Amino acid sequence: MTARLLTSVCGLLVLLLVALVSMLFGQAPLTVADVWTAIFAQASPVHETIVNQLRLPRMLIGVLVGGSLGLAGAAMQGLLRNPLAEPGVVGVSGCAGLGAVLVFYSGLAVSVPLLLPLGGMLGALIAVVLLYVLTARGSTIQTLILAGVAINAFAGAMTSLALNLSDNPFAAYEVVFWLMGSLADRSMDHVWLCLGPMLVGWALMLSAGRGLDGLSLGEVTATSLGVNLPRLRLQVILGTALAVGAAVAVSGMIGFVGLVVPHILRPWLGHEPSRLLYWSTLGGAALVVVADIIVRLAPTGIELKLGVVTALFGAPFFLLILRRMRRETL
Amino acid sequence: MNRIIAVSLFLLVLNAISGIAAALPQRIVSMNQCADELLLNLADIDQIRSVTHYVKDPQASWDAPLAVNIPGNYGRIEEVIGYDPDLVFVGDFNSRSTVNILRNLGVEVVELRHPRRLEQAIAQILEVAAKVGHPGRGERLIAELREQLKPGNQPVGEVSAVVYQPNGFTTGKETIIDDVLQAAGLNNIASEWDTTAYSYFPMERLLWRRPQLLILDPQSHDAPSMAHQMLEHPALIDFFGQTRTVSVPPQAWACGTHHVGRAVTLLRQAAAPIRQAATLSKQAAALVR
Repeated sequence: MTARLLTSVCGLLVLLLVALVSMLFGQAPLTVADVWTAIFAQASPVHETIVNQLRLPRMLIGVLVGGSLGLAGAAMQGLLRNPLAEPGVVGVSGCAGLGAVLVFYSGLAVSVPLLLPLGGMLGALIAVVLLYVLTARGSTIQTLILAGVAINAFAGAMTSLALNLSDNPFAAYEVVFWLMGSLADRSMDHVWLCLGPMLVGWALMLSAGRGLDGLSLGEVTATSLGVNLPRLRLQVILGTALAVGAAVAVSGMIGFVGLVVPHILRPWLGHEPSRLLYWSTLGGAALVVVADIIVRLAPTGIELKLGVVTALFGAPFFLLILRRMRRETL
Repeated sequence: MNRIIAVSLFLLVLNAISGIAAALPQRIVSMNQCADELLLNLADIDQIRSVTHYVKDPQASWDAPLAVNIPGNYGRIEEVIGYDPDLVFVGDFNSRSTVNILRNLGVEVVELRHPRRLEQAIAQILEVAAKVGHPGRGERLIAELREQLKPGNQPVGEVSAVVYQPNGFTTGKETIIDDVLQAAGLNNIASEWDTTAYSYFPMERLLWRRPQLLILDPQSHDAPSMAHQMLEHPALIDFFGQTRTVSVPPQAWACGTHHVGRAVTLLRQAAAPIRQAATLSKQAAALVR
């Protein structure tokens, strides 16, 4: 038990280190010492601004969004007992994006900024509930994927439509941000916007661990073990909606994080969802922060969108899992 | 005898004049806003059959008053053919297939690419003036423009500046905007990196390099966008508060027509106080010494 606690703490420290290292990257030529003084001591106002108002919120949002996506992936895979469940693949992120887009471009979020994550959460909630209803009676891979394709297609089309209907000529180009995601030029305001709902969502999902362990043995066994199934479902559904909805509202859709991370971790952690939840949170956070470093280092002039990087390694991974699963079912 | 010679000479001249008049295009259609602007300033209004709707919008072009009585088009092929044009101006954004259809119909099509440099813009004025049969007007317009571009007696000294638009977009070296900045005596900091044309200038770089003059786009939109929201980043708001800014309306330099002269004037006026302050502080330093 203490060994487990120790590794957990070590994981957290590694994430902290990765997060701090990510703050060394940017377009202004700051040295390691410059960044260090700006974070931990008094630096020149220019360095302070760059490090604390640009790089810090970027890193924090990377950790929060990545953690949310990783955790939601692990929790959904546990609840639906399907290793392909992931907020992006099954359309939860897509609907969250649609909700946020509707709130943002209608101008509602200008007067009440909090409505932006709220829109995202509402969209995500609708998608999770829909998905659960569609796949409740034994979710085969096919039903889950097809439901995801349908939800994603609808959300994507509606998002494009909403952006095209905006009176602002820039809006139409911003479909790229919403569909591929980015952490560029975010501020502490965005951190505060998403922090509350994310932490509540995390708490709901992390506390579902025991229940998901029981559920992995089947619904009947879980009930006989004393798992309150309706409550467990509600916990995961609400938790996913809160965390993913808030994440997409501030960063757009970053795909495949919730798929890749639990799959990489499973061989090390065994098939106990309760352990997977914690480690997927850390892993997701680390993955997004590292992807965001790659985005800043890539010599592309206009910065790459984050979703491009995660899709570049996520999509082949997805095919790999699919192949393995087909072999197992044959 | 003299009389006969005089009359035949008169007839000859008359013939020549009417011949020239017949050779001038009489049914010109433009499918591009930037071509519209040149056309409205260089051709006779009754030579023009149609211009785009965009140039008729005062928010988009300063030449809108010249176009009030001219029908507008959206650059669609059937609209254009309907005017039975003898000369059509197209720009970068008209499709190749439209141009090909017009050429197949035997219509003369002139393609005006967006000028990449100031000298290209000036050459375009001459080209359009010649095409519409009024080369003298073209030369006059260019003379006026060159007058505005002349340095005059502004105080010398480098002033660093950058164009900063929604989404953090800027224009780098070897562009007409960069030429305009140089003509105004400004040092475009975007050209210190290998930014060419229209591209993203990272916020971090802006806050680190801190130009003395920020050139902003005054257009505001009621509908929100991420591109505009980004300009409200707390770090930028701070910086905007500490830096001299100037608005250059897109009507002045979005097209790269003769209106860029106005942009030069605006930029020069904005830079003057910065130069004066620099000169004053230099004098003060000399006095202290």
